[in-house]
Amino acid sequence: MEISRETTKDSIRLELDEKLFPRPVSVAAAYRFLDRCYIRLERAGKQHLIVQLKGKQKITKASLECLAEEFQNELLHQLLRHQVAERTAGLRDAIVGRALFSAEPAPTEAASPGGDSAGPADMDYLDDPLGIAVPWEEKYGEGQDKNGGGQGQS
Amino acid sequence: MSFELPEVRNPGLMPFRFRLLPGGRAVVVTDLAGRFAILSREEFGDFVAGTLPDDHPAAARVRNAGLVRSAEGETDTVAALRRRSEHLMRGPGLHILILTLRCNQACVYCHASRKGEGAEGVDMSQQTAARVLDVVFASPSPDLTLEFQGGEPTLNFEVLRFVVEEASRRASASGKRVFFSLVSNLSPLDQEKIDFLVDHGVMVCSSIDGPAALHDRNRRWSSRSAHQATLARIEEFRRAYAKRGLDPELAFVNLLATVSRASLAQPEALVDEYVRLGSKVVHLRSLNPFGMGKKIWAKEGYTAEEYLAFYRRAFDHIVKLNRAGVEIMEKIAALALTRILTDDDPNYMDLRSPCGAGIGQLAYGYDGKVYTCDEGRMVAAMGDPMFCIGDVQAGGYADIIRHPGVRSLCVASCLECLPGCSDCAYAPYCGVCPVYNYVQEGDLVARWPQNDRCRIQMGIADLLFERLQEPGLEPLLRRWTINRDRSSVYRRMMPLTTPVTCP
Ligand code: SF4
Ligand code: SF4
Repeated sequence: MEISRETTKDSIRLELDEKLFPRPVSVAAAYRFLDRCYIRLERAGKQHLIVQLKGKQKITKASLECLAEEFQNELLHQLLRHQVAERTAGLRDAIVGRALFSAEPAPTEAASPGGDSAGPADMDYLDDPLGIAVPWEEKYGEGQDKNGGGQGQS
Repeated sequence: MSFELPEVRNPGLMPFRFRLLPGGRAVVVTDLAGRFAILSREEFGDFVAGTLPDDHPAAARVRNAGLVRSAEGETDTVAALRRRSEHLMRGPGLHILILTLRCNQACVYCHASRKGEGAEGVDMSQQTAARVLDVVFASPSPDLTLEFQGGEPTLNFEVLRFVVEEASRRASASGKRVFFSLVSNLSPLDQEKIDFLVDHGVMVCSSIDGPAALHDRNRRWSSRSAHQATLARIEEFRRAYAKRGLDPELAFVNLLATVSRASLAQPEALVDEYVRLGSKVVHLRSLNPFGMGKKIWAKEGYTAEEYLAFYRRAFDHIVKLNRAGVEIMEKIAALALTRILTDDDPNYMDLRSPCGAGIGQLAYGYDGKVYTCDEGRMVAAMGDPMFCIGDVQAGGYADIIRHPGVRSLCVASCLECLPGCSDCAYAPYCGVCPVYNYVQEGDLVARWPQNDRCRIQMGIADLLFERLQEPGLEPLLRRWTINRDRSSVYRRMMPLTTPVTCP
């Protein structure tokens, strides 16, 4: 069975077959319930994942069942999203890469004082030339002006 | 209605997507570039089975639509795809400046960021506007459209004047072409300001929601009639254009109708008001939920089905008027038809893939904060800065365009790669809005079966394909796709599709 369900007083456990629902899919689906539930993930055997949804507020059995149904709808959405993303990855890279490349500043702007030196030709759309994903402390150390990375204009 | 794809046994097919039209008799088949054939169910079965005789009229239709493999056909498809994807080559050309949050009117559906006419500290300063222009002119796009919005942007007219003059100067120095557009209720304008706008080629867009009673119900202005005031200003613009010898077919105030709950019952009266005013275009914009509280939505909002019922009536009324010799078209349909019937790329920010967020447009708040689009700014006004991608006071164009938010929205609106859309026959004509999805579902990617925006787009495409099958209607609808060159009036050609979001 791909999904089995078990209800307790205040929570519901769903056991998912990871052959059908790869782990990133189940995790993404569970994540959508963070605002309403406490979520617990557990491995079960080699290829099963247990997702436990526990209501943050007092919850009836019927509402728990409802949550489980909603979770399964969300699983379907995330599964399809995952499959389509895998199937179309090359196309996405080509389209998104082209669109971002066209929006890159003219070389004078990119090379202006305070600007980064990475030119559009070197860029991949997943690159992070400004180090935006790098924690602040790591990037500038302590005691620096927050606008220290600001860029002048051409 | 369920519909099973018959077994595909024809090896000579190009990649295609299909949709059974409501009613269950006709199937729309589209190729990757958006060329299409409408087939009966039986013809479609024969087409995929490879049993459609060569001399059958439907065989010619599928060949012309590039749905059958041939060396020549493949080259044509690539060329069509390239033409239809020109927006991928442009960079941000549309720059929306929020000159003020102040407004002298109070529309029932207005978003949260509006402030009263006397509010302080919510106007863009000249210094901020100059910084905005630094960013605008660093865009690689050779054509730049500066769109003034608010609040009511003409309440900060001196900064508008500064931007027009300074941008014109920078355009001559940089060799870029600059175009201005103003989205206004027009009421604060006097003759001197109207003359300035006309003399500087600023395209003007305003709102008429319908006959006076409907308009004044939607657009409250203390005890005065907003309808009367707008009409009076439109007349003053008409006179100003005429005084300069400009062709009234090209020089006119663009009008837009926001459809509120009260409009739903009177589509014909709404269209007739546009005819009465001599307008050749009516844009029936549905309400969006940005910045609108739940209470207001409950009062003014409606379902996709309600809007579509309204839209179908309005559309059919316009076609009836066209048949009687009255020249008028609906703008949403005109945009979709341009994509359906031609290989042109109208570059409408919300109906392209990826959408224009960041890569096609940027919106600048009065305080210099930069957003992926004006809708992203409205989300910020609701307290969520998710779509803020920079600040002109703190960084330049490169910082803004390389913000991870731009990439996220680009990926999230690339509909060739989204669940539902990637298999949808209408994908070549459509566009998705990650900001809308975020507001409605808390996720940049929608669950399409429960998404009203998708339902509306699909419903309008269904309607157009239904009507395209009717005898004699295609040539009439083809006329809606003609984009008239208005460059003699404005600085550069005004694309039919320049996105506007009238207040
Ligand atoms: S948004 Fe809806 S109509 Fe548009 S391409 Fe996606 S599924 Fe089709
Ligand atoms: S996110 Fe939505 S509003 Fe913004 S540009 Fe894209 S489609 Fe338009």
